Amino acid sequence: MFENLLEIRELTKSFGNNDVLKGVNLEVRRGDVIAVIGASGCGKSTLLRCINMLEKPDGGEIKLDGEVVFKSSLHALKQKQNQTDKKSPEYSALKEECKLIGKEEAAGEKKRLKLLNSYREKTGMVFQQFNLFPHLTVMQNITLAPMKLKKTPKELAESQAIELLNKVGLAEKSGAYPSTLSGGQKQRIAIVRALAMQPEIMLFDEPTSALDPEMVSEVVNVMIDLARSMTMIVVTHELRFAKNAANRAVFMDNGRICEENSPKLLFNAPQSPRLIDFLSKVL
Amino acid sequence: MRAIEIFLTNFIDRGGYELTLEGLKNTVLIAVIGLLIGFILGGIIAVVKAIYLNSVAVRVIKAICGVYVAFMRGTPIIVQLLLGHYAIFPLLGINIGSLPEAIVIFGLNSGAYMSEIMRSGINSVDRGQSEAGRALGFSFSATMFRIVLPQAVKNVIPTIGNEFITLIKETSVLSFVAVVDLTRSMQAIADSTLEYFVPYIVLAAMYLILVLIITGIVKLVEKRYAVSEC
Ligand SMILES: Nc1ncnc2c1ncn2[C@@H]1O[C@H](COP(=O)(O)OP(=O)(O)O)[C@@H](O)[C@H]1O
Ligand SMILES: [Mg+2]
Repeated sequence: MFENLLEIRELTKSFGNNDVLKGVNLEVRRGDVIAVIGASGCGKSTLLRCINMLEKPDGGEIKLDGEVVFKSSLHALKQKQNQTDKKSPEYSALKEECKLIGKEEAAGEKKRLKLLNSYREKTGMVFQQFNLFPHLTVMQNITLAPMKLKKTPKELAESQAIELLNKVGLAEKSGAYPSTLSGGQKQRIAIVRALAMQPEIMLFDEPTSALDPEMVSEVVNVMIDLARSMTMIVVTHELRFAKNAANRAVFMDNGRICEENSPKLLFNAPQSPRLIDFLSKVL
Repeated sequence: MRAIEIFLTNFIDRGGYELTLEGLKNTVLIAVIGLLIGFILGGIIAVVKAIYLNSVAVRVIKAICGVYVAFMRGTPIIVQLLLGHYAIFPLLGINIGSLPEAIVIFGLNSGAYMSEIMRSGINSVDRGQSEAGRALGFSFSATMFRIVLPQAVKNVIPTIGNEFITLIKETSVLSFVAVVDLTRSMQAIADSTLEYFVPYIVLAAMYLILVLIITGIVKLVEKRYAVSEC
C-alpha cells in the first residue's frame, strides 16, 4: 500500500495574470480528514478543482494512489526563461530545454488524458450549489454514474443507493425530483451521489455555505459520520465539523498553504499573523 | 356564392381534394422529417461548438460547421432548393426524386437554425451541471448527452416549436420547384377554374389550422416536460 493516498507538489495555477495557486504542497494519508480554511478568493476552490482536474493546473505534480495524474515542469521552466536575459547563453539553453520537455510532456499528457475520467471516478466532489441533475429523480441522480460508468446492474445500483439513502435519512425521497427538496436534503443527496461511485477520496467545497442556518447541522452530521471511514478534504468554516471530525486543518493564504496543524491547535493557538487576523474576523 | 360553388365542384366532385391531400401530406412530411434532421444536425453542431479542446482537428471541424451555418442562414431556401436540384445533386450523381431532395435540403437548412437554438439551450444550463457530470467521471460527450442536452432541449421547446411553424410555412416555396405541396395543390385548382378567391382563402385557412395544431402539440410537450420538475 502507498502511504500517501494523495500527493500534491508545488502546484501552480493562474487565470491570466492572476496567480491563484503559487506552489501548494499537501500530502494526504488514507483516512485523513483535512479541513481547509482561508479567506474568500485565496484559492481554496481552485485547489479542489485542480485536484480532480476540473481545472487544469499549470505546473507541479498530483499523484493519487501512487499514480501520476498531473505533472508538468514546463510552465515553471518557461517562467524562468522569460525572466532570464534574452541575449545570455542560458536563455537559448532554456529555450531548447522547453522545447524538449514540452514534447515529452505533451506525449505523456495524451496518455493521462485518457485516464482522466477513470481518475475522476476515484474522487468524489460535493459542490456548494449541490448541482443535482434536475431532470432526474433522486434515485436516477444516484444510480446514473454507477450504472453507466461502472456497469453496475440496475438492481444492485438501486439497492446500494437505498442503503446510502438510509444512512442520510432520505430513503423515502428516492422517487422525488430535486426541485421538491430542501437545501439540506439536496446536499445530503449530492453527498450520496458522490459516494455511490465508491471514491477513494471525497472533496467538499463549502458544502454548507449555501444552506439556510437551520439546515446546516443535518449536513454536518452526515459529514461527521462519513469522516469515520472516508478520506476527505473539506473546505469549510464550520467549526463543529473541523473540530469534531477533522484530524488536520490547513490555512490557505494568498495561493499557498500557510499554516497546518491539528484543528484544535490551528484554531486555538494560531501562529502566523495572517491566521490570527483571519480567525479574529470569522470567529 | 358562385365562386364557392365552382370551388366545391372542382374540389369534391372532380377529385381536386386528392391533390390537396397529397400536397398536405408532402408539406407535413417535409416539415416533420426536416425538423428531425435539423434537430439531430443542430444538436451535433451545437455540441461541437461547445468542445473546449483546442486541437487542430477540433478547430477544422468547428470552422466547417461555421461555414455551413453561415451559408444556410445567409442564402434563401429557394436558392438552396434550386442549387441542390439543378447543381449539387446532379453533380454528386444522386437521383432520389424531388420530394426526398426537398426533405434533405429542408433538413440541412433547419439544422443551421437549430444549431443556434440548441446552442442557446446549452448555454442556458448552469455550468455546475456539466461540472457535476465531469466530476462523477463522465466524459465530455456523455456529460453533454446525458446531463446537459436533456435540460437544454427542455429550455428551448417553445423555440423549436417556432422553428417547426416556420418550416411548415416555408415549404410553400416548393411550389416553385417540382414538388406538390399544399400551396401547389391549391394553385392547381385555382388555375384550372380561373377562380382564385376561394382556393386561396381555403389555403390560408389550412395553413392556419396546421399551425394552430402544432402550437397545441408544443404546449402539450412543454406540459409533459414540466411535470418531471415541479
Ligand atoms: N474560472 C476562473 N477564471 C478566472 N478567474 C478565476 C476562475 N476561478 C477562480 N478565479 C479566480 O481565482 C481566485 C481564487 O478563486 P477561488 O479558488 O474560487 O477562491 P476561494 O474558493 O478560496 O474563495 C479568485 O480571484 C477568482 O476570481
Ligand atoms: Mg470557493
